[in-house]
Amino acid sequence: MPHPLLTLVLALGLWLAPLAASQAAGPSVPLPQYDWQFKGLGGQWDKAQILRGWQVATQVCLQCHGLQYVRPRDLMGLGFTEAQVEALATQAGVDLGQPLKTALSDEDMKATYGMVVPDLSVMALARPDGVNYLKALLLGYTDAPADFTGTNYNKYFPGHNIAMPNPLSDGQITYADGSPETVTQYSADVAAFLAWAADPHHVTRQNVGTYVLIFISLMVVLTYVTMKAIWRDVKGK
Amino acid sequence: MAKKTAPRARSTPRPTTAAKPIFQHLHVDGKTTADYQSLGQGVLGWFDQRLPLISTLKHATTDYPAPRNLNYFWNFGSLALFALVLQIVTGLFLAMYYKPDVALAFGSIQTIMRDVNWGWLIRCLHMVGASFFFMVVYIHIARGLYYGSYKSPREILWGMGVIILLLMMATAFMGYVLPWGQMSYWGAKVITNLFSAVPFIGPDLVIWMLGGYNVNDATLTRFFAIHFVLPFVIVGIVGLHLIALHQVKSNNPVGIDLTKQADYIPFHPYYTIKDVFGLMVYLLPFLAVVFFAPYALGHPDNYIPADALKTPPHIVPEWYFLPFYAILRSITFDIGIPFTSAIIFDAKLLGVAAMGGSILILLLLPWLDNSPVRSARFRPLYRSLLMVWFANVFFLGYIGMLPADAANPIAALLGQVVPATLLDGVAKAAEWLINYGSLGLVNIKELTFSGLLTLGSTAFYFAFFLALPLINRFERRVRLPNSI
Repeated sequence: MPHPLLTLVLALGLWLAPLAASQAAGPSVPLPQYDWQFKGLGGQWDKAQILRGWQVATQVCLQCHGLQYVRPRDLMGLGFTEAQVEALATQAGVDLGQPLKTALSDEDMKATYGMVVPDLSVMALARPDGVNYLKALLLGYTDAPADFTGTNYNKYFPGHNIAMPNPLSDGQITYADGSPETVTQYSADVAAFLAWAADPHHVTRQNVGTYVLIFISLMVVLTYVTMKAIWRDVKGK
Repeated sequence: MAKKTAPRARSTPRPTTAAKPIFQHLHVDGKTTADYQSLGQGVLGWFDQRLPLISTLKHATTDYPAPRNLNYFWNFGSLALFALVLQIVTGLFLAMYYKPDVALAFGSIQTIMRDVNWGWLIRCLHMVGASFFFMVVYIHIARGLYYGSYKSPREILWGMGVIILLLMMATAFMGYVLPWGQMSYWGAKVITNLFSAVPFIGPDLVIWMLGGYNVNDATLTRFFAIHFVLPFVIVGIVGLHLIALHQVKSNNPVGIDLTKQADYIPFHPYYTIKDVFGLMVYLLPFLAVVFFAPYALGHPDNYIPADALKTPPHIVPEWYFLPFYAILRSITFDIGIPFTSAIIFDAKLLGVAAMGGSILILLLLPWLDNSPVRSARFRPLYRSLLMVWFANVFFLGYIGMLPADAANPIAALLGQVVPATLLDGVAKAAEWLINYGSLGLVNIKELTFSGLLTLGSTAFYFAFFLALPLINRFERRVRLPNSI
């Protein structure tokens, strides 16, 4: 007589088979998987990269996109001092404790792009595989196929027709730390910045989680041993 | 109470006069207050005679007899209770910062996630906790189905459980609206719109529920209020669920009534420690998701603020509603008067009825299944069919996840080996059979092979329950053991 657990696993398998079959087909343009320092166990924010991303975001993105849930002061959560952040804010022409708002009004946005430009605060969470998507999108302004009729062609944008023109070009932003001033670097940096902006406690969460899981694993062992000791005298077990 | 002739069993030094019959009804196991006077004449005894807190606790733990052969599937009851309490506690703290206002709701979640001390933890526990609560409850229900825990004398216990499930679904649905993202808004719109299928009063009912002609600020505020209060209603029903459990005692994997005193062990310490161990094992995957993938079970679209003018390309409910969502969408036929084209029930109403019925039929299960044997261990046919039924529920869930116009995955797989014309032919033949076979009672239009298979899954979901009397007639039962 098969164990109920086994049969449950079988039932799961029956369900997962078509799922796996359909997943194999996958989306039309699969996203490239880039390396991110904050991902995985023991991941950490790349402070230098986020700082470069802040530069891209404030110098380029902020012209049209807002980041209304992000304030410059939040950078202090990464370990920057108030003086450092104050300097950054002054440089970017924004207020230390004020949300990052775009200069463009909703009406201007509609006139230029035919839509209200989306806020970027949680953009990295608002798209599947957000951080990889954002970097891929910024690198996705490839030559349009001959039959393309939209505004701007982007390889990774759903439907490929994106209202945003290619915002980045090589040498557009000057980095102080000697990093390459290329679109590849800019897009990685700004995607890392947006990943931090969308989920600023990501690294803390994973660090705390590691200790919590170690503690719970210990508790599993302790409670198991206790259970066995208590149950020792029960017959038929 | 016909107690007037019975002499007092033993005289207490300080007889309590009218207290006895009043307290008597609290002890649902038929014990009298005197049975609880074992705490003695001290302060505890004095207190317990006036408010039987300690004896009730004792009754539910050290004095509660549990079968000694319960397996780990019996852990999911206490896990569900833990999940419920966690939702209430985290929810209370979230409510201190959440703003049920269409202009502020989305931002207040961001405040919780960014600025409130440990707010991210509380919210991740709450949103992942909802998913895990359903996982636990679904396994708890599957346990009941497998081991026949719904059968006499546990019909009311089971029924209370089904009501808890319905309340949980309502609570979860309204909770998902609160972040006021795109899925919140459009999910609320789709689900509340279902009520417009109610005959005669439907459209007015929807306006009354929404507090307007569309999902709006009033809707969000009332959903918050209801989302806050329903969990406490659930706590009440859980109380009844537990009182019923303590009255009829736990079922067990063998499914037979226990006869020997030796088959019972006290709940405490044996099952308290087993439940604590089970809780720790449960916390591992739960907290792993909370800390390492809290967004994995949600939908990215819900991080886009609600926009009434922009329909998401693919509106999909949370995973725990998917099988029922698939049942709703699988009904594409009307029911009319035979020999005419008049429609009595349209497809929308039938879909809603099927979705509601898919849960409510569980209430009838104790009476549909007339087999005297409880555990599926001794019911080979029932066990096989139940496993297919479980697989079918998963499969329906998978279909519910697909866009409405997507092909049934099995039909898609078949389409790779079987010519499309053959599948279309089968669908056409089925359509013809249904329409003419029912003499126009059922009107189905443009049935595809995909649609036919999905309809078949829904049909099997219900047929399993309705065919139980038949199954029991043909089942060759395995002989039951005399004891566990």
